[in-house]
Formats: sequence, C-alpha cells, structure tokens
Amino acid sequence: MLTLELNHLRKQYKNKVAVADLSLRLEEGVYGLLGANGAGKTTLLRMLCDILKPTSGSVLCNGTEVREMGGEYRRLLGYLPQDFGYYPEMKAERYMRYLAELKALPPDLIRSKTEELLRLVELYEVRNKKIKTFSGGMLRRLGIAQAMLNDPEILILDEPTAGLDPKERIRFRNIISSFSRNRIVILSTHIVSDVEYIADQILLMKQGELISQGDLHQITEKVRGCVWECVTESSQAQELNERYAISNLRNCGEKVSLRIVAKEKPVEDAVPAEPNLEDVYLFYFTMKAPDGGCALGVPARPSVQTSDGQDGMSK
Amino acid sequence: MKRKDKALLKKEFVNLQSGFEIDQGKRERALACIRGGVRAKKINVSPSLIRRLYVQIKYMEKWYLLFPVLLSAGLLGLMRILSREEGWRMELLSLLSAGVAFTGIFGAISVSRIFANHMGELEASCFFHVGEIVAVRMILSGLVNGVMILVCAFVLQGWMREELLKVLVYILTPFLASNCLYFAVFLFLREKNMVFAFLAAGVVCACLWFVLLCLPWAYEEGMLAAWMLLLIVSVIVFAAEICLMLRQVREGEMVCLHWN
Amino acid sequence: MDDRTLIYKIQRGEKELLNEIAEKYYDDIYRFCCYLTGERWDSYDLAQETFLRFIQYVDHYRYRNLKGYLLTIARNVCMDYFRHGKDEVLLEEPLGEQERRSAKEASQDEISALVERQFFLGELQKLPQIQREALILYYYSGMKIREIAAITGVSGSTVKSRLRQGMEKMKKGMEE
Repeated sequence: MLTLELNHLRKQYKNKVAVADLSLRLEEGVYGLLGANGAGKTTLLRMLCDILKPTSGSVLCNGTEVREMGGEYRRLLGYLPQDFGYYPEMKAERYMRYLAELKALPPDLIRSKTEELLRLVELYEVRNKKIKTFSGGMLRRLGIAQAMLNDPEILILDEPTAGLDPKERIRFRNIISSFSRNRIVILSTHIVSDVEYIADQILLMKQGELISQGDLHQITEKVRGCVWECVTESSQAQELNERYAISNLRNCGEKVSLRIVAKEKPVEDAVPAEPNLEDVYLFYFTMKAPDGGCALGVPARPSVQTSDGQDGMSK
Repeated sequence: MKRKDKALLKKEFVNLQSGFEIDQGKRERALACIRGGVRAKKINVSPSLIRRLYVQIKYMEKWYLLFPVLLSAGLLGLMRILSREEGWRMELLSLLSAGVAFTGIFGAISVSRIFANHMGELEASCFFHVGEIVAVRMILSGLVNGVMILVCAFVLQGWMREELLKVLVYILTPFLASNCLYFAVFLFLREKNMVFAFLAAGVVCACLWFVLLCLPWAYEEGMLAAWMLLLIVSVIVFAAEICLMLRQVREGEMVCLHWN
Repeated sequence: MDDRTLIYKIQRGEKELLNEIAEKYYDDIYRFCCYLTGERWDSYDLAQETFLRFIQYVDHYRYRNLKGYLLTIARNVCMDYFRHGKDEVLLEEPLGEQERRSAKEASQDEISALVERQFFLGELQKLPQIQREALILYYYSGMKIREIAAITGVSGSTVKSRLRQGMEKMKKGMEE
C-alpha cells in the first residue's frame, strides 16, 4: 500500500505564492481537491506529479522523495492535466499507443490495454479518427483513458469532469469508484457535486493553503450553525442577496425562499438548516467580510461551470 | 566402490521422494496463492536505447527528419549544376554553408514540437521524462544532420580538391553557430507560434552566412584559426544551451507552458 | 513452450504465464524444500514463498537456467526459515497423516521401506546444511557441480569436497 506525504510543500513564482507550506498525508482512497480557480490546485498537483520542482519542501512516496525516485515514481503515476495535451493530427488509438510506450508498458500489453481502455471510455468506435475531430467530452474521456494506461497506483486528475455532459459525468464517477480500490486517486475540481459523490476525503484549498480537510460529514459539520433558511418578500430578498452569500433561491408564489450562509442569523425569522457541501464552499470561498456578509460580485456559483474549465478543451 | 556408493545414494534419494507424496489440496492452495501474486504483479520494463529511438521515429512527425535530407540533396544537386560553370568555386561552399545552417532549424522545431499542444506536461508525467524524449529527438536529428553534413563535405571536397577536414570545418561551423541561435530562440522566446519564429531565424541565419562567406577573405588560409575558434565557441555555447534547457525541463516551468 | 520463451513472453507483459512456471516447477521445488528442511508440511509454504519471490524479481531476471534460479531462491527461502523459524531442524511428526493411515494396512515390506526412508531422512538431516544441500542438489535435483556452485555461491572444488564429506558421513551413518 502506498502513502504519499507532502512535507511543507511550497511553490513561489517571483512574488506570488501558489502553494504555501502545505503538509498532508495521503493513503488509499479518493481525494477531492476543491477550490476556486487560482487557488493553487494545479500547481499542487503538478508538484505531486514530479513535473514541477517545489520551491521548498518535498513530496515523499513511501518515505522516499519522489524527485529522487524519478522514473520509478512516474511508473506509478497516471496524470490528466487540466490542459490535456494531444497531437491534433494523431488518431486516438495511435495516440494511446504512443503514451503507452512513453509509460514503458511491456510491448505485449500495449495493444490489449489500449483496446480495453478505449472501450471503457466508449471511444473504441472512433479509435481511427483524428483527435482534432473530437468533442470536448470525448477529449476528456480520452484523457482519462490515457491516465489509466499503466494501471497507476496514484491517479491524479486535474479538472477531469470539465466539458463532460451529465451522463458522461455519472459514467466517470463510476469508473473512478471502481478503479480506486487500493489506490490513491486525487481529483481537483471547482464543481461541488463531483466531489460530493465520489470523494472519501475532501480537501478545501484557498490561496495556496489547505483550509479544511475531512470526509463529507466532518467538512459540513464545520459550518453547522452558519446555514439559514427563510422566506421573505422579494424586495427583502434582493437586499439580502447583496449582503449575504445565498446558496439557494427559490420563488414560491409572491414570496422567495432563501438559503443563506452567514455566521450570524441574517433575519429574525431565519431557521438553521442542515449544511451541505455547497454551503461549505460558499462559506469558505465567498465570505470575506468579518461580519459574515458577503462581498458583492460573488464569483460563479459553485455548481455552475465557469468558462475556464472549457477553455482547455477548445483548442 | 565409489561408483557403487554413488549409485546407492542416488537410489536412496529417489526412494525418499515417495515419502513426500504431494497433497493435491495443499498444492492447489499454494498455487492459488501464487496466482494471486501474479495478478497483483506489474511487469516493469526499461526499454533499451534502440527501442526508445525506434518509438520516437515511429511516432514523431517524420518530415522534421526528412526535410534536412531533401534540402541537402537539393543543395548538392544545385551545386552539381553550378560546379560545371566556370568561376564557381568558393561560392559553392558558402552556398552550402548557408543551406546547412538553414536545415538546422528542423532539429530545433522537432524538439520544440515535443512541448506543443500542451503535450509537454503530459509527457513529463510519464516514465520517459520529457528530458529523455528531448535527448532522443536531438540524437535523431543530430544523426540525420551529421550524416548529411558528412556526405556534403565528402562530395564537395572531391569537386574542390580540398582536404576533407577543412571542408568539414567550413560547413560544420555555420551549422553549429546557427543552431546556437535557434536554441536561444527556443529558450528565450515565448511565441505562440514557434515554427514561424524558427523559420524567420533560419532565413536570417542563411542570408547572413551567405553574405559573410562571399567576402573574398573568408576562406583564406590565415582565417582557419578563426574558423576553429568559432567552432569551439559554438560547441561550448550549444552544450550550455542544452544543459540549460534540460534543467528548465526538469524544474518544470517550461513544460507547463503552452505553445504551438 | 520452453523456459526461455516463457521468460521472454513474461518480460514482455504476459504475466499470466508465470502461473505456468509455477505449475511446472512447484513439485520439484516443494520436494527440494522437503529434503532440505525435512518438513513436509511447512514446505508447501516454503515452495509458495519461493515462487512469490521469483514473481517479484522476474522483471530483472536474465534467462540462464530457470530451474537452477528457482532452486537458488528456494535455498534462500529455506535459509531464512532456518534462521527465523527454528535454529535446529527437528523431525517433528515424521510420519504424515496419510502414511500413518496407510501404515496400518501396509504389508511388512512396505513398513520396512518406510522405516528405511525415515532413517535415511534422519541421517540426511544430521548433516551440516552446506553438505546436505550439496547432496540434495546433486543426487536429487540433478544439478551439475558447476550449477550447484552457482546456486550456493561457492567454487566448484568446494562443492566437490562438500559432496565427498557429505557422502562419507551418510555412508558411515547408514552402516551403523
């Protein structure tokens, strides 16, 4: 069984700190790395993959520094970068074989493994089509397939669900769930529902730091008492929307039903509600003012995909 | 006596076997456990250098290797025609130098393509690190270019009745010096379209060399020392650039950039 | 398929063929462990451990003599067993369950053969380990002097002298 240990990991670009003194221990299971864009998720994952050299600190795999292990570490690794690389002119099957060669798969395994995985992600029918003709979802599926080529002990997926439609997303979750036994799977995302279902452990990252960590229950418990529900007039709702982080807003007739994340009771008739992961996300990522109010111009709602995730696909 | 003893002992040993009758159930259990071990086993291979070269040749875009060959062949053909004319001697050499200097860009392009389309980051996570892939590509294009230069030098020294070594220096120097420029472009320029940048650099280099080498004193006996000096400097600079590149690749920032 | 082809294919990814090797050599290795340790029950585990170790090392194995290589591993496994399992090899439960049952029904001839076997095994176990393993490898596993030297990591002449000494002791023991 593998363990990954992050030891005071830090990455600094000129005067911007991308990852700040991060320590963490990873064992078998699925880890969901949740954070807003620019939180340092990608930088962290790149260091985990031995692609980027940390400014200081280290990543240890079973006690050995991964930069020293070099190829022997990367043998254990499957990685899907956020901006997934491919040669547009290459055909899907040829591309998979090329990566299988780079991953030093035994020659006799290359053909069978390629076929097996292309079938798994339902791309076998289009294996002889050039990659540039693929849709965003197909590309992402190809990316997931290549990451699993060498049967990795450590699977690292950066925004794996960007560009997938709901059906593909469910399929992806099933693939990961069945794959993750006895392995370490780390996936980063800014989409809350991805993590909610498959992650055993949730890591919340903000401005290069790990601000919260635990399973779904532990994480949501931390914001218990900060989630409220109330029904108000639409005029008051407008006002509340400007002052607080609203995690849900529903019209019921004349009135508006609101779900508010705030440290203090926002209005007199608000009742505490059972917190969920979306509330947690809002709690950590949009609340700035110390009085529990929320800054205006909240970034995209957590469950809404930002355009950023798709940019990587449309080249 | 001794032989008899041996035979006796052998017999005893074989006899002993019947005392160790194998319990099929236990045997099967042990084999099942071994099967479990086999299932969990991952065969790791470390392909040989030959295999790595082969893989790169098989999957790379071939025209980066083909172009230098075609270009050099074309140049040789052109020179064959020109050499029949009177008054073309040293100019032939300058023309070839300029041509060879230009073909150098294909090596640089072929290396830069490794990083294109975000591939660098993905390749950096594979068993063969990008650094190795770069090295293999450089070896490949170095081999092709080296052979082409040798052939050109050999053919040319026949026509010019010059020493092979001297001709080699005359051709190799512009080639290496220009490659220094191309890799500098690669290292320090972060253009979206690197191929265009390389082409531009190649044309500039070729023109420069041609003009420079058409100067009457370029191939004088006394200048040979200067040629050698330039060659040595080029080699050193080139080596330094490669080290720098490999270091940048290893540290990772370069790999994660996006270019075409 | 011969051993060389098997190893070649395994190292190119067909790991299922490892099972074929285990199937083919399990009995040989099992008996070798029996002879060396005198333990017919523990030897199932020892033989199993031998193959598990072989599976672990197979990527880096350069084919020469597969049986010899397996015997080398088996010898190391048995040495570990001696070291950690017990300091001295005792013949506990000299007759197996099956034998005891069959001994009841066995004829006089068969019983005397059984006793003789046990006696021989007992004598064998009295030998120092280095002489015992040399004798087993030579007379039972059919290895050549050169191969035994490779397995035990000593020179050919050392193997010869161990064989000679071992044989003399055995002879003396049997005559008594």
